[in-house]
Amino acid sequence: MRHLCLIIMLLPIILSSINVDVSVNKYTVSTADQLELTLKISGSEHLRVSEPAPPQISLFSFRNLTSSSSSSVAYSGTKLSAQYSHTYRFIYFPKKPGTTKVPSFSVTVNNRSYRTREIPLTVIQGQNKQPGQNTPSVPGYNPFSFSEPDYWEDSSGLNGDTRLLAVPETQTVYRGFPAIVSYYLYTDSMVRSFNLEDEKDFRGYGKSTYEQPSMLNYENVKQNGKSYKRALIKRLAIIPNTQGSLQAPVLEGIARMFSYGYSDLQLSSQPATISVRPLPQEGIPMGFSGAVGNFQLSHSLSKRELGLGEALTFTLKIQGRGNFNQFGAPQFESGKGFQVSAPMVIDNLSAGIEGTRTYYYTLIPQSKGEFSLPELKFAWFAHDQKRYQSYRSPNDKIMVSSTPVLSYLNRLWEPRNLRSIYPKLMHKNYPDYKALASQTWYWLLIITIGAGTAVAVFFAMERKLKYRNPESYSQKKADKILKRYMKQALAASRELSEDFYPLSEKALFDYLAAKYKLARHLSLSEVLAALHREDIPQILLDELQDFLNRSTAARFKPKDDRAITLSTDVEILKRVVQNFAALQKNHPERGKHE
Amino acid sequence: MSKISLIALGAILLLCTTLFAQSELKVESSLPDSLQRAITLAAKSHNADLLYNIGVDFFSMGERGMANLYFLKALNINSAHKFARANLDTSIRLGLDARHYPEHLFLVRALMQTLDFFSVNRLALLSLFLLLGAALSLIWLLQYDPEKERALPILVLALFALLALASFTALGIKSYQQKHNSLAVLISSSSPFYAPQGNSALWELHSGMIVKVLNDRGKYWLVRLPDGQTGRLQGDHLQKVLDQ
Repeated sequence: MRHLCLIIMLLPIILSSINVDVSVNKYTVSTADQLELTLKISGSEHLRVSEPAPPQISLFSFRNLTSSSSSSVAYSGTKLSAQYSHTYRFIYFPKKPGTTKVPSFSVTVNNRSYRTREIPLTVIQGQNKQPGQNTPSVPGYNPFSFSEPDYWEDSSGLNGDTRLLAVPETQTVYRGFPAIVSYYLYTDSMVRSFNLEDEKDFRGYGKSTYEQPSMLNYENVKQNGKSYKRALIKRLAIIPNTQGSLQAPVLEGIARMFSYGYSDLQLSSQPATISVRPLPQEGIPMGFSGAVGNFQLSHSLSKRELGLGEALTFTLKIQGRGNFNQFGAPQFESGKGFQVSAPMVIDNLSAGIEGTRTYYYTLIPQSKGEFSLPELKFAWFAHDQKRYQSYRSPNDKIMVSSTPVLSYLNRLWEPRNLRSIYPKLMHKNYPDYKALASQTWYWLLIITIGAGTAVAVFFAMERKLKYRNPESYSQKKADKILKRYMKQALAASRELSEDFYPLSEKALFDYLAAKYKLARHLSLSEVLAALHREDIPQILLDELQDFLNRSTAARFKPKDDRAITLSTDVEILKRVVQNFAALQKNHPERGKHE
Repeated sequence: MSKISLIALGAILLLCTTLFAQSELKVESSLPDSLQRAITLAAKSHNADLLYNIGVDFFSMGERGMANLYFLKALNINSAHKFARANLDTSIRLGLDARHYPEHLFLVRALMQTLDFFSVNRLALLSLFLLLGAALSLIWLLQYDPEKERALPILVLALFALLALASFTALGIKSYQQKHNSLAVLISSSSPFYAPQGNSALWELHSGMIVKVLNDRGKYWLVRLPDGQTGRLQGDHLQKVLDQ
């Protein structure tokens, strides 16, 4: 259980797979030499490294710090794998002989602390001599190795036969094709190390280091019937930029011999020539831009169906050996319905001549429809076949449709996807940006929505009141009717004026005529008959009849009596109006008149 | 005597002005004509596509700082400009200071991209739509048959109201950020990054580094890097996304 907990706790560290390694260029350093302490941090995730302080090493003085970082991303099928690394190189000068160690020190990577290991060091007294370009040494003499003959014993003379030979991989190349020249140390003596001092160059080529071992790895060879031990010193890639006979660079260095004590032997490589042929002048294809090599081309297209405004990526991969540094990116044919970016170039080359170069082109369709992929041509001179070859991109059909809104979120799923820079978006004109929220019409729309909602809420509340409290609703409605139709009649009643009765009769008939769409010239009996036809409850008709009778009678009463009955008649009028107001047209049963 | 010294001072000032004007002219005339015209046009017409195009031009010239600046300008106008966003991401990833940009968790990334998708204008339209939806659902609720269960209209109203509120809040925040964008880009090839206090340079930053300006008074501005580190950078090495 405890182990399980420990594993679970350590799981994030295990999964993060960050390696922190520290190394030195040599464990025994002479006082005339320098120590190079290398701290390498690598991992499969993005690294955030706090630059470490140089560790203090006794007997050494800190001189310099250089740092570099690199990242590589590769796709395997649909899986993306990435590798990041940071390298710090600390240079120290030894001060005096003795024994010491590189102390363990702390490095913070991605907010996590890592400690390095300790490294023991020995400083010996050295001659005052500048360190050479490279000092390969023998891996170590094994006194218990009896399986192979010991050629060291066959040395003839004090330094024996020791030579530095330049061996071209091929004697004849076409102009532009990289030729590999290997420099071997041939010896029949005990050469413990070789210090490369200089390289003499000649005209007519460019060069790069193809391989340079860090130690002398001997192999047994025979030359002119004689047995030698041979170790590779350096391998150069030479790219001829002229034709004719080309002399390979000459290497110079010092071999440290061991024979009854150490001695130095100055060596210089023997001249080697390469014959450079011109490229054939006939049959040069269109689009040839000077590429020479043994190439294999492949391509891929990210998608064949996409939305307008989306982009597709065309990937062209050139693999093999050739003069990668002497030709540019092939260009798509323009004006075929796509806007094409300048490609992003990812090189995975050794010595700039061998490996893979990948071009990523981004294409953005300019309209909807079905289009053919624009043509991309690449031509090169195939060295081994001795003829020109051409590549032409496939005539694939691309379907462009309307863009789904959610396509914006596509990049969420592929955050580390390598892309080239998207090209420009060309328009005839570029209108000034206007924020909608600062436009008048936007706020007018919001006010309209608010006002419309307020009106709707008002009517809804009325309806709600009618349903929840019919009494209160009909009272409210009656008040409105009275206010609208009976304004003059009520004013007359307050002044005890005899005008109350004719005014209230007229107002009542106006109201009923408006509500039930009755003609205004009808007599009382005709009005009652019409109301009866509207299914008005009889009790309400009786109340109406009663009020009208009281109104007629009141007109012929003495003035003093009229004042007494006026207040009662006003109440009757209000009740009549309220009961009519409570009636829905053609739905008398919902009124309040039971 | 005082007149002569005044005339001399005036002549020196005039000479300095002319020299500065010439140096500015040199910088501007080093740009291609088409780019120069586009920059002039962009000063008058704030268009995200135009600013993005200028950024692409600068990127192809190797001016990473100016490229990032114009991509940010385009995104300030339209945060949903996916090409500007993608180019800025690529430029950052290829830059020398990529380690200062933290890698976010998937959900954080999803949230940020969703917020980017809703640009100010999209948020304005969404808010309007949600407000209309809230108004209609309120009317629906009020007109709903009182005899029936009203859970559905209440739910719809609550959803619309909450979304409308969130949308208007986001619109307010984004509009404010758009008008008070405090991002700036390092446009000099490299510049030492100093600790907030003291004169110790922590490390070197390179052209294209995006920082948030916390205080722009004085020669050295107080800035915050994307990984949260606060420090000082020389003010004239920086250019703000929003022109003053």
